[in-house]
Amino acid sequence: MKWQQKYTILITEIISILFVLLFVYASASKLLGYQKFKVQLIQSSLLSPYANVIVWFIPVLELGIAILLLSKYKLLGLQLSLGLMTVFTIYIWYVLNYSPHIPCSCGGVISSLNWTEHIIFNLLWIFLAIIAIQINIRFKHTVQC
Amino acid sequence: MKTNFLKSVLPTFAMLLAVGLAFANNYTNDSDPDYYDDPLEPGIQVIPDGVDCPTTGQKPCLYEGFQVYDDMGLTVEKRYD
Repeated sequence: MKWQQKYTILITEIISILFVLLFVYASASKLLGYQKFKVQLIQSSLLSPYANVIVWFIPVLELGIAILLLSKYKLLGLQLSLGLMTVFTIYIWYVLNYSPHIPCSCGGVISSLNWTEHIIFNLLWIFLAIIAIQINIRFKHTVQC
Repeated sequence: MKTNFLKSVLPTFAMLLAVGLAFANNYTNDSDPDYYDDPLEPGIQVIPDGVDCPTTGQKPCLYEGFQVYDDMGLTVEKRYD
């Protein structure tokens, strides 16, 4: 195996493990603070009609993606990670610009971050996901050739 | 050995670390319980971890569709803007 391939695999593995850390932490936090999370969803003007579904759907989805990232479906896991982070970032952007009420960000992944900082934090994760997906696709392509 | 570390040891460590951090964060953020009154259930219902609503604001802070209170006597309403 060429050193370049070796390092690209290493980079993908590290990014995947970072996502696993993020999603397992986020999911466990939501499940442990189930009631708080539910009230935060109810306070959101956009999500309140679906609060009862989302309160379970998001933590289960996060755990599912974490499992995919550790399995042979790593690329799918990375794509879903990118999708979830993108949707979450768009949601924060919508809340900041159009929502009549901005719910408190307490209980989030990094509780000390405000919503604007959360967007920057999310963009960094989106960037990492794009890098890992690109590497994964290129590596697969190289192996097939 | 190196591959084994990457494929099994590191992910397991990451998952344990994440769950541990979540528990630690949940413990440090442990707050006072809040209360609400569901007329269909006897007594006052307790939300053990409380909710993240202040006691000031215009909109009522609801849980399961019921007003949340800061005290057991249901005198201090939880609200938000």
